[in-house]
Amino acid sequence: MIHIALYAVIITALFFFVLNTIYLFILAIAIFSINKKKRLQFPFDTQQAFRYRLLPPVTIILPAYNEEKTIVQSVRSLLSIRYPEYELIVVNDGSKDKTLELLKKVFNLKKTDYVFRKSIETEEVRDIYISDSFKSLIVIDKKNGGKADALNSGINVSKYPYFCAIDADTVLGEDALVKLIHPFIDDPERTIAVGGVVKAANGCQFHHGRLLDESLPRNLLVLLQMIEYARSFFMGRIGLAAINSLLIISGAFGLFKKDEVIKVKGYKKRSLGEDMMLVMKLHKHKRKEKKKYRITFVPDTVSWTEMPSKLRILKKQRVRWQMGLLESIFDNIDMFFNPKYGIIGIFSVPFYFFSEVIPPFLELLSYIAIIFGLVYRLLPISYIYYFITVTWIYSIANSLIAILLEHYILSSSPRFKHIAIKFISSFIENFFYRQLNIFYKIVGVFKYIAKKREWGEMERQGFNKGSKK
Amino acid sequence: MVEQFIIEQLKEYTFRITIYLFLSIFSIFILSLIIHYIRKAISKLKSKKAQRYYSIIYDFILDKIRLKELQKKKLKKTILTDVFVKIISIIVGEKQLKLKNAVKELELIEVIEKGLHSILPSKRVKACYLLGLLGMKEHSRLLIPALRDYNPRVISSAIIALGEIRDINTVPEIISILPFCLEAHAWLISAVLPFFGPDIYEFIKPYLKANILHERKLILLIKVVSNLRIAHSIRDLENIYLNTESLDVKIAALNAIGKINDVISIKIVFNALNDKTWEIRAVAANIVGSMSLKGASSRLIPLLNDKSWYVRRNAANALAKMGKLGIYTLLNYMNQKDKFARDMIAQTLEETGVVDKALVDIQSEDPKIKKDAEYIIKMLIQHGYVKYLENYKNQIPHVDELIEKKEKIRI
Repeated sequence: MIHIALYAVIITALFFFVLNTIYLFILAIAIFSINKKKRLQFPFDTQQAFRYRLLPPVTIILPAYNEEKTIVQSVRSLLSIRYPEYELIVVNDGSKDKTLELLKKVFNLKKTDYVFRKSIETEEVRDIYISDSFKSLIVIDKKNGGKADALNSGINVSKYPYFCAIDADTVLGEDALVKLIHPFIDDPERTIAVGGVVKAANGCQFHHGRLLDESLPRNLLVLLQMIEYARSFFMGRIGLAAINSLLIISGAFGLFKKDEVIKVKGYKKRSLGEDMMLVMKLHKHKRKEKKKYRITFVPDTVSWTEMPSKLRILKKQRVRWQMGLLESIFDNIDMFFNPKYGIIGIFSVPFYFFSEVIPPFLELLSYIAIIFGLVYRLLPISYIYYFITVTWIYSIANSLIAILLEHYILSSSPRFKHIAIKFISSFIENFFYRQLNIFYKIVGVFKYIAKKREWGEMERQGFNKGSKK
Repeated sequence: MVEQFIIEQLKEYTFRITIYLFLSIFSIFILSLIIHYIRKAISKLKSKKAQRYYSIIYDFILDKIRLKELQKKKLKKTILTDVFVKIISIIVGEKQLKLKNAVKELELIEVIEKGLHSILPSKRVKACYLLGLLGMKEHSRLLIPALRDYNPRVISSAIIALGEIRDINTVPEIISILPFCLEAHAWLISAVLPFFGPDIYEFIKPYLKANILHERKLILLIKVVSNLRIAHSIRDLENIYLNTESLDVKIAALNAIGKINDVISIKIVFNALNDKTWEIRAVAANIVGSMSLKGASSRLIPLLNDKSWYVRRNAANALAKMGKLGIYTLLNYMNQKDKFARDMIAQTLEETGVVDKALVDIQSEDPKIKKDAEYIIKMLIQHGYVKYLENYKNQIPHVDELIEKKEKIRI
C-alpha cells in the first residue's frame, strides 16, 4: 500500500516537473520571439497607417445569443474602434431575450433583401438588417444553431478578405485591430490566422465601450482566472506560436483569412470548442496542401472579456472547454504523433493532451495518496514537501514570469498594489483554485465520454460591474 | 533497493532544480520590479525637464526669447531636438519655418545624424522618425543608407520618413531596394510612393519588366501606377496584361489600365469582357462600372447570363452605376426565370442606393420622376422583394399602397 501511495506522489511530481520544464522551454522561445517581433515591428503609428492606407479591410463577426445585457455596449464599442475600413456583422443566433429588439431600436435597423453566397452550410437565416445610422453595421437574424453556426453565417455574409471573430461581451482595445492585422501585412501569403490577448473586463471601468481604467477585480475567483489567463497567453501561446504550433486562437478575439476558413468549411457546427477545432482544421488542411503557412499570435494587442465570477458559471465554462479540447483532439486523432503533420502531429497535439487531459487525473491520484498516507501514516512527510515544491512552487514560478512578461509586452506601468495582489494570488491559486480546476477537468472528461454535450449559458453582469472603486 | 535509490536521486535532483529555479525567478521578478520603478522615476524626471523645454520653445515661437538667447542657454541637445521636432510636426506656416531655421542654427540635425549612426537600432529608428517629422527635403539624403540597414525596423522607419519628406530625388533609391527587400517593406514602399506624384513613373518603369520583381512585389508596383493613373503607362501595362502568365498580375494590370480610362484602355477592357477566364471577365465588368461608360450597357447585358456568379454580380453592379439606362436594363432582366439572378439584381439595386433614391423620388411632385420611381418600386414588389420596402411602410404611404395592392393581387 505504501508503495502505491509513494509511486503515485513521485510519478505525479516527476510528470509535473517535466511538464513545467517544457513550459519553461516554451517560455524561452516566447522571449526570443517577443524580441524578434519587437525588432521587426513596423514603426508606424496609427495615424501613418491611416494616411498611407496600410491596413486591409476587415469584417468583425459578433455572434449573440441572449446578450441583451451587453449587446448594445459591445456594438457601440466596436463601431467606435479606430480602423480605416471595416464592417461589423452581428449574428443574432435565435435569442430568446430582447437582443434583436434592442439592436433594432438603438441602431435603427432596416430589414433588407440582402442575398449572399452560402459558402458554408448554416441554419436558416430569417432576415438581414442594415443600420440606417451606421452604414458599416449589418445584423443577421437566424434560427438558433450555436456559436459556430452563427460565426459561419457571418462568414457567408461578410464581404472583406479577413474576418475577426469576437464574443458579444468582448471589448476591443482602441488599436487592437490595427495591431492584430500586422502579421497579415508582414507576411500576407503565409499568415492565415492570428490571435490576440484576452484579459478580464471584470473590475475595469468602461464608458461607451471604451476602457477608462484598468483595475483588478474584487472577486477572488476572477483574480485567480487572471493569473491563469496571463500564464496561458503570455507564456504558452507566444511560445507555441513561435514554433507554429498554436492550436487555440481564443473565440473571444481572433483574426482569420476568410478564404482559408471557407476551404475547411468554417467552424464545426455544435462543437464545444469551435475555436480550437477551427485552428486544428486549418493546420490539418495546410499540412495536407503542403504549403507554408503561419498561425500566429500578437501579444501586445488586448481585448477585454467578462470572466465568470460565480463557481457555477466557471464550472460550466471549464467543463465545456475540457470537452471541446477532447473533441478537437479525438476528431483529429489521426494527427496524434503522426509525423505527416510535422510539429503539430509530433509535438502540439500530444502536448495539449498530456498537459490538459492527463494531469488532473494524476494530481487527483496524488492527493488521494497524500491524504491516505497522512491518515495512515504511511507516507514520509518529505514526500509531501517534495510534491508541493515540484508541482506548486514550479507553477508559481511560471506565474511570476507570466506576470512580468505581461507588463513587459504591453509596456504597461502597473501600480505596486496590483503587482502585489497578483503576486499573492499566484500563491493562493494553488490552495483551492488549482484543485477546483482539476475537478472541473475530470468532470469534463467524464461528460465527454458520456456524450453529454451542452454549451451552458454564461450569465452576463454587464460592464462596469464588480469593479474596485 | 536500486529502484529506491534511483527514486531518491531523482527526487533530490528535481527538488533542488525546482528550488534553484524558483529562487532565481523570484529574484528576477523582484529585480525587474525595482528596475521598472527606477525607470519610471527617471522618465518622470525627464518629462518634467521636457516640460521646461517646451515652455522655452513656445516662448521662442512667440518671440519672447531670441535665437541667440536660446543658444546661450545650456540646454541638452537631445531633449531639445525631440521637443523641436514634435512641435514642428504639429504647426504650420511661418512659425514652422522659423523653427526649421532654428533647427539648422542650433545644429540639431547633427544630433539626429548621430542617431542615424548609433549602434542601437532603436536610436536609428528614432532618428528616422524625427527626420520624417521634420520633413526637410535638404536632409532626405541622410535617410538613404538606412534603407539598407540590417535591422528591418530601421528600414521601415526610413521608408516612412522618406514618404513624409516626399523628395522625388530619393525615389530611385527607394525603388532600388524592391527586388531584395522583405515583402512587408515592399508593402510600405507601395503605400508611400503614390504620395510623390505621377513624375515617379520613369523610375518605376524599368521594374515593370518581367523577372525583375517577385510576382507579389510586381502587383504592388502596378497598384502604385494604378493609383497615380499615369496615361503614358498604358502600353507597358498592356504588355504586362497580355504577356504575363500570372492571373493576379493580369488582374492588377487590367485594373490599372481601367483606371486610366482613355480610348486604348476602353478597348482593352471591352476585350477583357469576353475573356475565357471568369476572373478576368468579373474584373472587367467591375472596371466598366467604375469607368461609367454609358454606352457599355449592351456589352454588359450578356454577362448577366454568365455562368459565373461573380461575373453576373459585377455586371449587375456596373449596370446599376450607369444611371437610368443601366437600371432599366436590370429591371427588365428581373423578368427572367433565374431566381438567383433576380436576387442579385434586387440586392444590387438596394446596395447602390437605387431603391433609396426611388423611395425619395416617389414623393416628388414632378410626374416624370415619380413615374420612374414607381416603376422601380413596382418591379421590386411584383417579384416579391418587399422586406426593404416594408421598413418605409409607415413613412411613405405611397409605398404602403403599392405593397398592399400587390398583396391583393396575390390573394
